[in-house]
Amino acid sequence: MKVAEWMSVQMGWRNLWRNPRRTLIILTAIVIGIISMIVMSAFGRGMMEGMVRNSIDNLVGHIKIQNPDYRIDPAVENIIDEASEVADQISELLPEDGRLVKRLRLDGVLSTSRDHTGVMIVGIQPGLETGMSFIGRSLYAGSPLDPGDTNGLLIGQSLLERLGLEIGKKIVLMSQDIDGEGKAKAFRIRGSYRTELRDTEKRYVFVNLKHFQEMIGASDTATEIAVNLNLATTYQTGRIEQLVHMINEQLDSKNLTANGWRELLPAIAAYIDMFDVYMLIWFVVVFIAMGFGLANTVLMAVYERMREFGLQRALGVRATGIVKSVMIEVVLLLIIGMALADFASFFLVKVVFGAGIDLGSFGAGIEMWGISRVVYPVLSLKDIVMANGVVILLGLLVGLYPALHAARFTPVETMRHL
Amino acid sequence: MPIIRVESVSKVYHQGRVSFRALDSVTLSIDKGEFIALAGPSGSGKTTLLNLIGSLDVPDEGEVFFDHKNLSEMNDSQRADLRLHHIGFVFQAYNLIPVLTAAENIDYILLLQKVEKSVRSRKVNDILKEVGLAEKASNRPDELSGGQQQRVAVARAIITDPQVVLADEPTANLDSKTGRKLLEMMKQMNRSKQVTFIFATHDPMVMEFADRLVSLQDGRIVSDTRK
Repeated sequence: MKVAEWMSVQMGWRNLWRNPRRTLIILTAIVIGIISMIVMSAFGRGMMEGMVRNSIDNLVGHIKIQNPDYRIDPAVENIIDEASEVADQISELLPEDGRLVKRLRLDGVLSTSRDHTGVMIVGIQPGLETGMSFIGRSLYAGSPLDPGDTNGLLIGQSLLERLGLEIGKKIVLMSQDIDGEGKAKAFRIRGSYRTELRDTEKRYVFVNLKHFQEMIGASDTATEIAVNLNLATTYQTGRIEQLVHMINEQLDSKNLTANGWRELLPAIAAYIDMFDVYMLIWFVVVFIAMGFGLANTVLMAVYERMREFGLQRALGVRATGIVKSVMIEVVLLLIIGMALADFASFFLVKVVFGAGIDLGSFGAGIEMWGISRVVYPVLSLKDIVMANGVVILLGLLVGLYPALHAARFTPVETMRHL
Repeated sequence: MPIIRVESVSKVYHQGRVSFRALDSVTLSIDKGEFIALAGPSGSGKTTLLNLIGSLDVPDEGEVFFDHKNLSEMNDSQRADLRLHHIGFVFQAYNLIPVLTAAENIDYILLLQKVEKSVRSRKVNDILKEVGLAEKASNRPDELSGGQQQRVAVARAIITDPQVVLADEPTANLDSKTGRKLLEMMKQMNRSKQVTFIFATHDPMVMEFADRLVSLQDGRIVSDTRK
């Protein structure tokens, strides 16, 4: 930095603190504005991340291999034959952190002695679901499915309560077999599960894959093979896309298709894509409110100092020099505001809201959107850069108005105000 | 050889629908090294004439030449450069930048001229000693008396070795003793550095110090006396 510029920065800094109260007020406005930008985006991103995780957790996975017809018509004829062989082929392509499970899911009816309800019967590999979906986590009540358990069943706690059932009670599941004939089998409730979303608890019942295959008379079949990778955030879609491509190449000869979660959850993927635009709009709206305050404050400061600007012009400072000196003050104000706001936002997101924000009081409203009851804000570098970028760019633009105003003062005009 | 030539200059100010002729066909020539006072009552046009000479304003009619350069033909930036390099200013009040110390106020003008740091430091120290304010170098304007502030302003006006120093009522806010000291200092600089000093004043003491007294009334020169 040249010496003259350094002097301008010093002057700008000192000028800022000539009226500390005014500077502190506008700084507070800037800080609150930027905090609202960053924290709101972190909250939004956390909510979205939770939504994606819930959806992926909800038997979707990062990648799913299915018969393409099953996605259109989830019927028994659109299943994967020789599922173990297909799973082995896919296993060879998986990276070290990759895992897969086979599932067989078909619509069915759950009957008790008093009631019937439609459910989705899912045959799972109990030992392998840990870390793959919600059913792999610890149960709400009872015991998990044992791989050798021929008639064990896991049921959602909400469904259990709705049907007035208890752990250990017997129920009957009915579904179509491979020939389209109705088949029924009695199962005993071993345990119940809880999920973020109550609807999920009312929809799925889980049995052992092998015994479900036997029930419908289709051994070594599945309706899906789900693959999960160990991803820090669901935004890391690059690896998923790469693996999807490799799996599809491998399964080219079979009538099977691999899809990443973005294809499986298009509405959520589209929402994520629009999120950045929403955030940018939000940032600009916040800035507009803040910008008026900034322009007004700087303009007031400029009018108070018009004699000084006149003096500087008389001494030989060009109009551009006056613009520069006002802009230096604006930049200093913005930089201080941004630094304080970034630090405060980091503190709020990581420390104050680090343990999550409980939205339980909004109950069903948030569940309808698939949002977790506890949102963990996600601080994204992109959002911080975008918020600071909007503030500095628009701040400079807004600051230009008073700066150009100051440059228009002529020494003669200002001396007449003496 | 005149350093300043004012030829048939008129200046009219407009305030709403009312026009006020501040200068009316004024012609004046000032030589290098003069110590001249433009005197007259309020509204006589002395400050307007000073502003035109200092390129702070442009005439409506006539021309002002500074060292043979026609100020009317210069653009805003060229006039700013002329002021920076060739003219020093001392005003009645609000002479100094409040956030800068006495030394920084003087240094500021050298910085604008892009003078090297070592030269700047030496010149600022020397001039502060010359105006008797070496001990007040780190004081900000609000920590200086009116007389001290005017001395800093004079120091800033002459530190760049300008051809002309323009002073508008420099003693107006000073007591007579301080005013006299200030004038003695300027007179001494005028003699030692051959800097042309032009004052706009109605202070009899300034007129007493001046070698030449140009009296104005209603925007016209009514007398021009050399002592």
